[in-house]
Amino acid sequence: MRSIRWPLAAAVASVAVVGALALGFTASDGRVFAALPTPVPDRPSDAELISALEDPGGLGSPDLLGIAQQLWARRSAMDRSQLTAVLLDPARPRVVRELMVDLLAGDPDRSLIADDMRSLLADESLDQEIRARIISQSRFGAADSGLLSSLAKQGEDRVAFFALKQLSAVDTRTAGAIARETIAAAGAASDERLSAAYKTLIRCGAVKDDAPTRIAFVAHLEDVLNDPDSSTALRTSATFALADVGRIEALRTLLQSPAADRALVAGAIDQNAAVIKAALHPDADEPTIALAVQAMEAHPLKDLAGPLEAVRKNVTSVELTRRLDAVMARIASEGVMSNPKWSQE
Amino acid sequence: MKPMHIRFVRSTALALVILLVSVAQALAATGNQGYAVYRNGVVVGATDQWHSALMALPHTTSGSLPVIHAPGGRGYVQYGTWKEFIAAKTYQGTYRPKSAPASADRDNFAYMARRLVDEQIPYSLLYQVNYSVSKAGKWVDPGDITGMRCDGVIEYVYEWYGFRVFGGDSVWDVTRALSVNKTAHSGTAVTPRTQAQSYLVKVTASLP
Repeated sequence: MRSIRWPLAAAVASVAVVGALALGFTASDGRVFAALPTPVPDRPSDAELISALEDPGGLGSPDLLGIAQQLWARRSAMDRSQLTAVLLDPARPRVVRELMVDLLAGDPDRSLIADDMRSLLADESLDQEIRARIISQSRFGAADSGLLSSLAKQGEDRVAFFALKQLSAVDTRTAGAIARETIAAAGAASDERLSAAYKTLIRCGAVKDDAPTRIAFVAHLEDVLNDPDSSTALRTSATFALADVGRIEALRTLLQSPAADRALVAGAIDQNAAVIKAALHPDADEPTIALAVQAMEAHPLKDLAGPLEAVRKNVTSVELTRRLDAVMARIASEGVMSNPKWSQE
Repeated sequence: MKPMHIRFVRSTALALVILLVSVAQALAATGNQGYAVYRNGVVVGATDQWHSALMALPHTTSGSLPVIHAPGGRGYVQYGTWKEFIAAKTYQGTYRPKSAPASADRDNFAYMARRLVDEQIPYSLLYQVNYSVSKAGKWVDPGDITGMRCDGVIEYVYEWYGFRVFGGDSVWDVTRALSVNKTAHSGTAVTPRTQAQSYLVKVTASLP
């Protein structure tokens, strides 16, 4: 062992020096440098690097991130069975097992999930957190619709959560159907499954394209929001889902719910700034203007000042006029610009 | 001209609506809500590179879960107690973007951080913010994110709302879905410590 350690320590020290110089150079002036280190001669073997993930003392003073970077650089050439063995070992630290998943999954922009990873997903003896990570870090194709559907319906909650999200990217129709079924049987579904269903229904376009679906969905979310037995987590998911619907009636539901988390309402208003602006057309009625005023009272947005001023003439209520004036003053003193990213594809 | 009784009913209904919605609570971030907090105890190479979190509540005493962070080895972006965040290490200060955010901006920061929790984003060691570039649109939506590091929570939340943290002029926005932007925010190009000390402003050294 002693005869191996000396050259290994020298190699690792070289990498550490290069890494330290790069870190200092980047940290001081903010210039970008490649995340992956330059390969060095006489480098540690894959097995030695993997061991070093948990035993820094065995290779001088490497660090988890530095080792991870080296492993990432050579992942395509690595023996996958070696990585899988570590992944399957429940005695290894979670962060190490998760890194193995990442190395096996590779770059999702370059390759689909490999067959050995698909097999791992079918192994129910493998803890759900590892299987959930395999799902979240892999890229799936249309041919994986059956696999993902099965996991979304029959897997544990954490597995199902990520499986449904991934399914919405490869088979929108099937994912939407599972989401609808889950919401229709909400009483029997876990919060985690419902949360995934909300996101999936939004992302598959069903809420945007179909009015009856949207109306029913908003009604369901309102019920969740106002049900005292709903968990905080589910209420939060429902709040975000209402914000994601992107319609004035959904925003109205949120703003007028006595049970809505006021701390989330502000961000939801920013997210729906474009929706509010569109509603403040020249013929906007007083209830709509009142809703916009209420929104600005909660979260003043500078770019709503103009549209509000333009519809002032539509207001006959003395009280609403007073509130409109007050909110315009608040926008002037405390307003911020809305974030356009929400409405850009 | 509509009959008088119809006009009366409509105006009464409108008055009721205006009354009901007039009880609008002005929302504004208070205390340290939306600011970033750091503690030491995460060694990268030979240097302690710290751990970061975002204040979801105004103060550490405002509730049982005042922070949102991505703790390595414990799964996902999540709420945390102050004790969990500190993990027996030493607090390093509260920080904000160089361009001072308004109270309404800090409301937005807290909103986005809670969205990240809701998306159950796994921990990422290699990238501040990991995602598939080909699947994302122009921007990296919260739902696009497949992994996040602790400093990635801060970087993403601030930069989603246009508050620049780390990175060169053309690649600083980690929420812009481009390979070059994603890679620029990876590995040791930036760490929680350099993020705080070089790219943010210290608000206070006192406990938040």
